[in-house]
Amino acid sequence: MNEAEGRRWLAGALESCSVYALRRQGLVDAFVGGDLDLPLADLEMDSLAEMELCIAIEVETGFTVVPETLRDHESLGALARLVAGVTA
Amino acid sequence: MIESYLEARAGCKTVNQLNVLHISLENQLAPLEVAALRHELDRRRLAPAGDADPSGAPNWSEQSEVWIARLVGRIALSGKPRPERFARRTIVPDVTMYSSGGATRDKTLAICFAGSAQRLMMPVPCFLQHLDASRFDVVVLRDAARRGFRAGIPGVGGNLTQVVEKIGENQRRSYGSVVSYGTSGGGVPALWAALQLKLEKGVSVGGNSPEDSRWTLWGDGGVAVPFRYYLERNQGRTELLLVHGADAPEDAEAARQMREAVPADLVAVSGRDGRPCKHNATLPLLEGGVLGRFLELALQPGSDLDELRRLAAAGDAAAQ
Repeated sequence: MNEAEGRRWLAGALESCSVYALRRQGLVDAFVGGDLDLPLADLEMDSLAEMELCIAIEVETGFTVVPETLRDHESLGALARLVAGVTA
Repeated sequence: MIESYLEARAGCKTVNQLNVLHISLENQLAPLEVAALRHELDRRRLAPAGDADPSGAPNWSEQSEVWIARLVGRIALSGKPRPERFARRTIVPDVTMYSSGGATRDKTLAICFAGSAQRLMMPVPCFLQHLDASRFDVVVLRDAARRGFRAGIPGVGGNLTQVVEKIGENQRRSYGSVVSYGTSGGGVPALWAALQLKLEKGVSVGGNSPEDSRWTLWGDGGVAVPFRYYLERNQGRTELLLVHGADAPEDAEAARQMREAVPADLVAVSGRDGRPCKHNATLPLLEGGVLGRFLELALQPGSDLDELRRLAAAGDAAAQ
């Protein structure tokens, strides 16, 4: 998976975790296209959504990110690079 | 139950796998089951430690303790000294009935549509604890496909109309009252169920707009088209209530659009302790200790709208 694919996967995973901030702000295409990045804090994830996103990343990549350290990743783009790097 | 929990927990190799187990339990357990699980976990925690597992596998007891304490803490916000006596019965994997038994003629059945998070904006036992089990039976419907029930529920029906028909079949005759309730992605299905089954009341919390792309199956008017058909047939008998967070502009706009499509009462919930009330409009009510009274009024046909709005604004008032 390259970074663009990582971004596409992550955008889908957020929807699956009931995180609609990207879609609501009309930012999905810009994020997937690599034209935009945003801090995880801007996604307004609750604790359940954070857990579900970590679960999804682990299922997809086998790499364990836990809710307690999820926000150590500076942005959604950084998370996409992580996903892409692990699956490359 | 404790043995199957411990067995499932022992099979978890990562924190995320443990979280899958805990989320699944939060989406299904009744308050009594949570209390029983808490009791057993406490008993085992206080028992003398056995030999360490030679395999070195994590035992997760600390994480279990944090999880169950947090869940019990949220349930305790009801202020009730004992767990409500709902017994859980799985109808099909995505439909669960909670009842304390007794004559259904004297009870209200609440048909509850979970949002795409598979819950009612809070763990299911927490929601149930805020209802009176002697007065309510609750059926919780989940859409594992997270498509707003448009593809139905396996084992029940292939679309929303079929699901509503099947779940509602006979219930209107056997129960004293039947109402529907839905949160987030379950909001529109709850209104749909109320209108299709000619229920006394339907409640949507943080539900979608009638024109949301998910509901444009019937053309540009979205779900408003079938809703108007049902409304005409019902002759205005069904009471609809739309609840949204005061600081969730998308949800407020969705509720406004829904009220243009169908007659409905609107309640905006304020945040508390200086925090905004966003999509999860039930959270300030839960944390403010007024969720039980709010649900009682929200699920009751002809209830006092002024009192509902006072409760919804309680956090706001407390902040002033």
